[in-house]
Amino acid sequence: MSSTSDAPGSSPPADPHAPPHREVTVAAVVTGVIVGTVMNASITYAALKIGFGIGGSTIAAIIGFGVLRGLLRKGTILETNISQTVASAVNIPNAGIVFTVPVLFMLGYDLSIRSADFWIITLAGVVGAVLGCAFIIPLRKQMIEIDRLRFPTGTAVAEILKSPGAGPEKALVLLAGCILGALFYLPAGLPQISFKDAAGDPVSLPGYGSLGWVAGVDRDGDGDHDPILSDHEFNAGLLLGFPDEILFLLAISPLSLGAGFVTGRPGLMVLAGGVLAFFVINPIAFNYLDLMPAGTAAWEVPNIGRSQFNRPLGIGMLVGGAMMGVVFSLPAMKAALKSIAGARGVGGGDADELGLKPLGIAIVAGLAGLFLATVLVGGSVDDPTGLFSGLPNFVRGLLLSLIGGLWIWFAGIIIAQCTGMTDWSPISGIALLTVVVVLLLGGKQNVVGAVMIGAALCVSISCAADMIQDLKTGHLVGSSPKRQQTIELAVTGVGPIITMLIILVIVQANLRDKDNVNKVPIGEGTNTPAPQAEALKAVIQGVGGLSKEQLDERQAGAEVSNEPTGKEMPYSLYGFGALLGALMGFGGFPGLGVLVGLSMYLPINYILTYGIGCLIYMVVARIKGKVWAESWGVPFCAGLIVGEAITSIVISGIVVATSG
Amino acid sequence: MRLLGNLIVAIALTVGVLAAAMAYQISLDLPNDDYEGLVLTAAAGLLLDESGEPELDEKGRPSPVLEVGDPLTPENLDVLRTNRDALADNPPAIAGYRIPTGKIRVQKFSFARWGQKWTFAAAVIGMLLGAGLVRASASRQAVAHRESGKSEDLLAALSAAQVQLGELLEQSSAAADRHAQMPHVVARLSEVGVDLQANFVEHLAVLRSLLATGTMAEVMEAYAVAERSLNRARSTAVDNDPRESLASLAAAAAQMGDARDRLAKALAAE
Repeated sequence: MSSTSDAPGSSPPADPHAPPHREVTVAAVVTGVIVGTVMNASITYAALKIGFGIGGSTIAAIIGFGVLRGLLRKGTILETNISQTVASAVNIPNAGIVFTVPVLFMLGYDLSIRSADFWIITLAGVVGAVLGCAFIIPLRKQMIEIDRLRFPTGTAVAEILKSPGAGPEKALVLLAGCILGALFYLPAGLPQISFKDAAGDPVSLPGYGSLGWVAGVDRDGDGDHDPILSDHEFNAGLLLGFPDEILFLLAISPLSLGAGFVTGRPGLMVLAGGVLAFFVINPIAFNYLDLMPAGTAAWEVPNIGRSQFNRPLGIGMLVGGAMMGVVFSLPAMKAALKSIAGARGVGGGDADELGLKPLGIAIVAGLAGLFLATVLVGGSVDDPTGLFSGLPNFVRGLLLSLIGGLWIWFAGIIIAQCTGMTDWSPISGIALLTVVVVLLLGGKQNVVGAVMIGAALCVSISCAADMIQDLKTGHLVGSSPKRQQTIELAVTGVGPIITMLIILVIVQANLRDKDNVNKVPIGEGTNTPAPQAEALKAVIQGVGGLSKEQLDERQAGAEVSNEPTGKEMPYSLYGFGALLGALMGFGGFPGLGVLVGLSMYLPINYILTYGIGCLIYMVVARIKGKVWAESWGVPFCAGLIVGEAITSIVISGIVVATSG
Repeated sequence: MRLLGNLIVAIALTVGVLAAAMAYQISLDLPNDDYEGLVLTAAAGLLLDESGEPELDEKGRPSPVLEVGDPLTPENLDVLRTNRDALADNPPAIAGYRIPTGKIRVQKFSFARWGQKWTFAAAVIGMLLGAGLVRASASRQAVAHRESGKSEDLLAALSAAQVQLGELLEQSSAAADRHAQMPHVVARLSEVGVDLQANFVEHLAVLRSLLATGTMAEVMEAYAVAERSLNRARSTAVDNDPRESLASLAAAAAQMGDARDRLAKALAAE
């Protein structure tokens, strides 16, 4: 499976019997698939817990380096690059699925392994992964060679790959981070595990909360002093005497800390949104504007402020920021089209690029799969509320899959541009738009179909952003783009299958959790709050999408009351948020509204821990230099991320196993 | 100017968010007809005992007069207004709580009822102003960059790189022990890469201002091909593979010359 160089030009005399340079090898591909699978499982859990995913290219590169060069002692830089490309291709589809699919569990839809919808959505995820890669490949020259976008993570990975002789050491640093992350997180996770004592009563394992570090107040009047240190959180505000309406709560999460460090300075925009909402808006709203319900205690302000206005405004900002991203990306679209036309005109294309023919086959196959999935899901719902209502299911599916395919291509460009410029991709914002549009087109009762297309889109744009990032790394180390493109297209479909199965495991663990008294499969009230999916749920319900229970009632002919209940969606807040989000994009960074909006509705405890990670990076980079921070700090923090995620997955497995 | 612009955006955003958060908050002083069909989306008022002190539940929490979903009938409005006046006349103090001032939240939005609409409009204008300042600052920087004009330096940078790569290829190919030569190849290619970054890539804004987009794309594609071959030569040299490294080095030298020729032709045509 080894191959020789494609580099043109006159070669000097050389040993004709020398083995070809190691690039695409069995070891590289197998290592990549194994590493990608572990990362996919770990990061799926992490994203459901803290609300945002972690790019895995850096970890994949370090592990690949350690395994191929350190353990096998025969890996080359280019071989490690291929291994990392494979690993991230297998890992990255989780980013799209965790933002979308959990909402179906929250709305009561059956997604067990025996349900047809589960496998149709999995098919849509696979299709999305293939389409994302196939759509972005023709834009490589435009983004990497002509525009020379920076792709910070791609550049960082290349730096790791180019550091000769440092492979085993970096693997050790990663391992140290892993162990520390696991040890630090263990007391936070252990209380989830319970056994029955001799009397048959459930007994939980001790955690941080068992240390009994409490403040001298009982704000909620439950008879117990409020904890400064609970199993999952450290209430720094309570310790430091902050006003109750300002929530200075830190999640005990090495994962969030590591993620902040890896993100570095750009992550401060996320922190800024959280600080704006929880440190500025909420206190002003409570103390001066009478914006809280009567009888609201100061310590309740953060949660009530979040649900009453911060979250809807934040979601609106996401949508507005994403729309502004689309508007500002129109020139990029034009350039991309020109690039595709140019590639077509060179008679089969550059020898170092995957030709248009295999790409065309991949795209046609992907669109056919999307059409099949859309027809299969749409056929189960007779919905009169959509723009395409009344059309035969076949035609409706064709239109939705074509529009979906076009939007997938378009959104892929946006995300790849954002990743190239900032290292950040507003997947969730695009997902919200997609699901709402599909609901309006296909009908508000077809929630499963809308989420399915949303999932396909999210997987697609995640893969597109990952692939272009990997191609940047490849450019910097001199890999053959054609080989990278071929191998990534070949393996990327594995990722969605792994993610879907892991979500099922997590749901089963949640349902068996003793603390989950309402037996919520996923979302608030469980160990995996999935805030992104919560936001998507709010949007779906806001546009009239039905839960499974409501759908069954309506199909049974039940009347739906139109009387106001006081729990109506605050549509105007979404609209004003969208306007503010769009306006933030005028200042030269179209994605700013999405960043700030995202952090306005995420839980503040994770945002603050993440923000501290960002600040630590900046301090380390200032004191020890950016190169040191990237070379040693990033691998260590990558270890923290992997350590917590793997520990959490293991604990979930134990919870499932011990609860029968 | 950029800092000022960003500061204005931040302040305007904060004001805008607060004004937007008050979109569903209305006064109790509107005519009763204006409340028709409205229900509360947040509890309102504080229950008072005969002495005018708030009634507290078993946990010491004050109880509201009306709850979420209660309709704003004339009777309910009268209760709320009376309660508001009583609280204003004799404001109680409850640690950890704020006394309601008579604003209520309802389920329907109306521009006419939104008291902060002009504040929100001012925030929008502020954000546009701030964004405009940020953009103006960026434009000034771009113009200054464009006027510096260093096209000949860019051409010279590519020529120098071509020569350096050719010399390195010649020297390394002639070496008796090519494996032993690889560390030198790595070091030299790293230096060439640093030079190209400093003397060519960092000044691409100049080139973009001089060349049409299509021409610029042709030059940059040619340069990128050479750059990738250079990177490949370095990576394979690190892995001590002289055959692959020198082949890539030869390709890089030739491709760098092609890029230089394309740039020279493009500049001559401008």
